[in-house]
Amino acid sequence: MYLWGKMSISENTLTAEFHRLVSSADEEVFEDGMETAFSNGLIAFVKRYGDLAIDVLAGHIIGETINAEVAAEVLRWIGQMDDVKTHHKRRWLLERCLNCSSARVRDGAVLGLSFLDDPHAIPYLESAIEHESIHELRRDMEQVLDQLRETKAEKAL
Amino acid sequence: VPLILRSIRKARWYNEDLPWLAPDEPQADVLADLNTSQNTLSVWLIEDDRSNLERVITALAANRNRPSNFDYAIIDRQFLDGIGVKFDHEPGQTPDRDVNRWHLDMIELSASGLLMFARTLYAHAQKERILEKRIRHLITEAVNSGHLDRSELRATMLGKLQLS
Repeated sequence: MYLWGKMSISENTLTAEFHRLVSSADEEVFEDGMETAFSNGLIAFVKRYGDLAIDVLAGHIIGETINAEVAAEVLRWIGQMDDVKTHHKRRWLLERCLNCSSARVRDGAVLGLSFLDDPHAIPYLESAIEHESIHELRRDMEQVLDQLRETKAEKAL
Repeated sequence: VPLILRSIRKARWYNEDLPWLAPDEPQADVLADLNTSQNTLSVWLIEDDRSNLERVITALAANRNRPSNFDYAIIDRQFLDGIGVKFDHEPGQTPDRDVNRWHLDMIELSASGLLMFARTLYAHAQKERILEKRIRHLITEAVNSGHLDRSELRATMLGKLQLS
């Protein structure tokens, strides 16, 4: 059981809600810059359950129990959404997923970090670049790394 | 030689080492980036010196609901002439009227023709990405300079860019 405010909520309840969300993604065609019922539902899920929701997402993405296209879409949107309360936990999941086995999931994590624009991810990206075997993806990681370094420099001024 | 641009999702085009996939063969999911309608596919003409590239990208990115990264494939037109692709000049529908004249439809596409196009893009196109932070800057600049018609941008886009 999780504690959710003053109430308790079972992991199964959260997982079932996430599975309903994932099922709804079957009908979706994902495009950059366009919301879908899935992305809106995902944001609502994270805002409602906070860090608990991220734990559920992490279990499914890292455990590879959802397909890579949907996992990557989740990572893009958790980087893009506005929610101060879950910022650290969302950033943690994005940093962690830079090491996932699927290139698409790694790309989703890279994009999520580019939206989040938090320089905390710099060492994680540096490490991921060292290990990345796909040339194109490594270039995309380097581009995000440059952006985060610029953000860090701007913040230091 | 002019170039042809098509918006894509780069991750679908990675040369990933998958045990079931033959070397140099694209994954089937690349076809999700090549949705046809009436056997036509929308693409954009880029000058050989790429002088209109940023403006086309800005107009296409501004046509969305919100600022996001913009991924694209760009290829020399001669590769497409080599596989018999036919083009039709049909004005585009972006918030930048000048950009709309650089729109082309690839027409009379058969299923095998589309697959050949996918293979040609996979083998010969450059796949690039502009990050969301840069896209925000480009759209804001284009609105301020008057290249983009603010009234044609979606309210969600204007809100995210604090231009409403």
